[in-house]
Amino acid sequence: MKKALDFVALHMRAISVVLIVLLIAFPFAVSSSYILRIMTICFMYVMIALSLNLLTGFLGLMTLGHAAFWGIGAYTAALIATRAGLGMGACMVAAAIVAGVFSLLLGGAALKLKGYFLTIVTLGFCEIIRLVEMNWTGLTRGPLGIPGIPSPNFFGIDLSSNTQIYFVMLVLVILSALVIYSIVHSRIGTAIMAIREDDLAAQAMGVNVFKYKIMVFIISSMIVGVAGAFYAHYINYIDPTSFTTAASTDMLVMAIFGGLGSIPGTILGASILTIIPETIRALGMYRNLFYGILIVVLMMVKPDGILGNVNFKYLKQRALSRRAAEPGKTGGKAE
Amino acid sequence: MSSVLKVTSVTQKFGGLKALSDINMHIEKGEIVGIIGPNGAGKTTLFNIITGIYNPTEGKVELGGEDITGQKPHVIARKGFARTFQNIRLFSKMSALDNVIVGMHGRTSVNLVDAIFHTPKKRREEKACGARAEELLRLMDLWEDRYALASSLPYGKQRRLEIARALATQPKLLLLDEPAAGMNEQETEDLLHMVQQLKELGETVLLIEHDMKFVMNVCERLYVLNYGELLAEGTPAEVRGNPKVIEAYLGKEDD
Amino acid sequence: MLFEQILNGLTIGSTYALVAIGFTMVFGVLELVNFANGSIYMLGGYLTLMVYTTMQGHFILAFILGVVMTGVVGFCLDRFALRRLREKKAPKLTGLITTMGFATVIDNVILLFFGSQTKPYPNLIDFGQFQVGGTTVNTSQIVILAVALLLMGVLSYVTYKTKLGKAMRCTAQNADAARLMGVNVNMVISVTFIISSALAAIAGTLVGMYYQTIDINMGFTIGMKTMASAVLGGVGVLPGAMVGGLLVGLFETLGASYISAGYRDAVAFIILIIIILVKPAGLFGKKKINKV
Repeated sequence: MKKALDFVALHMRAISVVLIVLLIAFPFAVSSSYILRIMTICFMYVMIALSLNLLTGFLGLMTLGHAAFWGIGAYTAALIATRAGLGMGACMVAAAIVAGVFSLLLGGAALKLKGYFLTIVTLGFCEIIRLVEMNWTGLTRGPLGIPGIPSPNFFGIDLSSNTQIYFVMLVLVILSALVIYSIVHSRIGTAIMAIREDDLAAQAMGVNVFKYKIMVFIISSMIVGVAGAFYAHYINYIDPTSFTTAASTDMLVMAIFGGLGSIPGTILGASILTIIPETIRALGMYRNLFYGILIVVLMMVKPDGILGNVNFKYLKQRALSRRAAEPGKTGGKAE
Repeated sequence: MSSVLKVTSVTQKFGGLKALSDINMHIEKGEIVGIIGPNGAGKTTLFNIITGIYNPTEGKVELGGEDITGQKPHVIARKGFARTFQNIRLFSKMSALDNVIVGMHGRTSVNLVDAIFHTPKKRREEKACGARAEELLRLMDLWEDRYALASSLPYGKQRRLEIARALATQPKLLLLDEPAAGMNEQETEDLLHMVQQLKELGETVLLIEHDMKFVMNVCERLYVLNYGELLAEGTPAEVRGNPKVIEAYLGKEDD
Repeated sequence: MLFEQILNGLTIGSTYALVAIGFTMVFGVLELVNFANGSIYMLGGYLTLMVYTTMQGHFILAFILGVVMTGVVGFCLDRFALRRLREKKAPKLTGLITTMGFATVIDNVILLFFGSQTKPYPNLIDFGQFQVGGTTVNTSQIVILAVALLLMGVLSYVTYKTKLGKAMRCTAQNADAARLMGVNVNMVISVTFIISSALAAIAGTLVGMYYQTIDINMGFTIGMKTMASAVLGGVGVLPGAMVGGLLVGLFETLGASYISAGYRDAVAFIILIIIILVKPAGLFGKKKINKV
């Protein structure tokens, strides 16, 4: 096990490239539209879980409001696409901006709160947004929802086949993973992890805690907003029942299931938690029961999630330094 | 030239409780100064005021002549006060190296755009930070443990890692809150040499310590706090001979 | 009209208060947000109904059995899930996710047993209504208020005057110190869960009778609202949860009748957010000094 993890740590880049190549080849090998649709939804949840992991796993803020930003993104895109007739690219940019503005407002007010207070405020925010979607019928048509949202398209080119949608989502998930990876593996990343570990000590080291909280909160919400815009274009119809606190909870469970503070873990966790419920559709009514039991059992067995305690960066550094320290190898002891 | 640190008539009240009253002190560049006093005398409270965690009820704190009273801790840290904590506060799930790199946060400037696009500036800065952090870890004799998680280090090393992290901020004044607490004799001895080494490197240090041997050996001047008041100040020899200090520590001779 | 709305608000608010007390007690001893609390409330309502139907009419017995059974479920949540996490010293988040998973399990078990339709609930506390100075008062409102006030009194007595209550308050302040002083912390936590679940079951049954219906969505909303009530009053503070519950019930009833019925549920959250932002410690909470 340890050796396998070391291997993964040392060859992370190669593994990622192979994975991406496989995913690109996938639609050419598998033509089942059912499987392609599952994969597309899976990518969307990976994107959402990654953005939530940036906030909860790396920065340490527990929020239950992400479904609200997902919904804000979806409604923004739906309204702009159906009323102004703009394309998906513009809708996504607009969704990101609107989600960003809302997160700035919420974050500016709430991010000074500690621990569970923030969780509860974001939860309340999520419910309020859902109730607005439900009741502001002039804008959202309330429970009737918004139908007829055009399928994905890019500068006038229609991308509505299952394979094309698959690639749209693949590009989105890779881009967001790269952005999050870059943030985490930078000065900003070390600062936000320091805030998670001990915000007072981080301040004493010159880290502007509030600034980073706001920054990460906005980035995370914007990514989820884009995912919402994609969802609206993909499903063609949205209504308030998708954007509930329960959806926020599912997102959080995905991030925790894979392992907070681990990007590979999140990808794994979100994939498992979207694919397993699909494969056990046969269970019918027992499906959600099974899902609940799965969560409880996982917390019992692996409270940190699948890869929550595995830091590939450190594993790699240690493996390399061990290799360098081994006698007989070129270079010998480093420096 | 103005003092590195100047504290002028600082008073701190918590509700009705006076934790500190009318404290005056100053530290000059290159000095190693100690604060001693019984438990609850207000030593850590004074540190918290100097580093901006508390806002004093009255009085002011100056850094190199600039009034920094009431400023945010991260601003004060960037301006030049770096500290360690009495109960170690490391970033426990991060490596020793990353802990030190966090200390450089205020001295680096890569922003979101640099980070996302991996600009040459980012790569350059990252390399420089890594090299400087390893240097600091060597200075504190922690280089072998650079990739270990902070929480996995033994106690003595954790204390030294906190000092390395504080040094990484390139402070004008290093504030050490009971650096030798919980250390055995050998570890304390090693720490003593490290602090003396810091002095040779030109660092200015203010430290709180209970270990009298340590304090008397390393500090040039001492401030003695008792019940939130400044009881005495002077060289170790003067303080040791001060009847008020003896009384505070040992009680009155003729009761 | 206004007085009737106030009475309606206080009635429903007093049931929120009961659930919120349980929530706040669990938070007090464990610093855990129990997301399963709403589901347990709903479970209590369903269990009483189930026992009542099978026993054909022995309401008091059915009520007691329903409450006891719900208490056992709460005990199991702690004993077989949360206690193990504590023993493993798992991060606190884990406990919260466990309660969410547990809530999912309870909700779906209820769904499997009772189906998703709204069920009629017998109202056995309705002895007609009467007029007080032009205001129509329903006897079920009086019964609910009386039961709630009685329970609040009993709980306050238990918490502040008995040895058990002292043990609970000690555990809340510092579990390790309490353990060293000979308090059986695990026992205290179990008792807290049992009380909290029993309270939720009582409230669930009362509300079921009051509205004469029960459905599988009632747990979620109540979970949110009790959280709001507890935070409003100050999390971990018993009188806070009582006053918080009453206020949330009052505000949302007034909001629904004078502003918009659609936003009824939003009222609680808006109050909640305002309170947290203005006075995070709640109405009765104390501010903590940041110790370094």
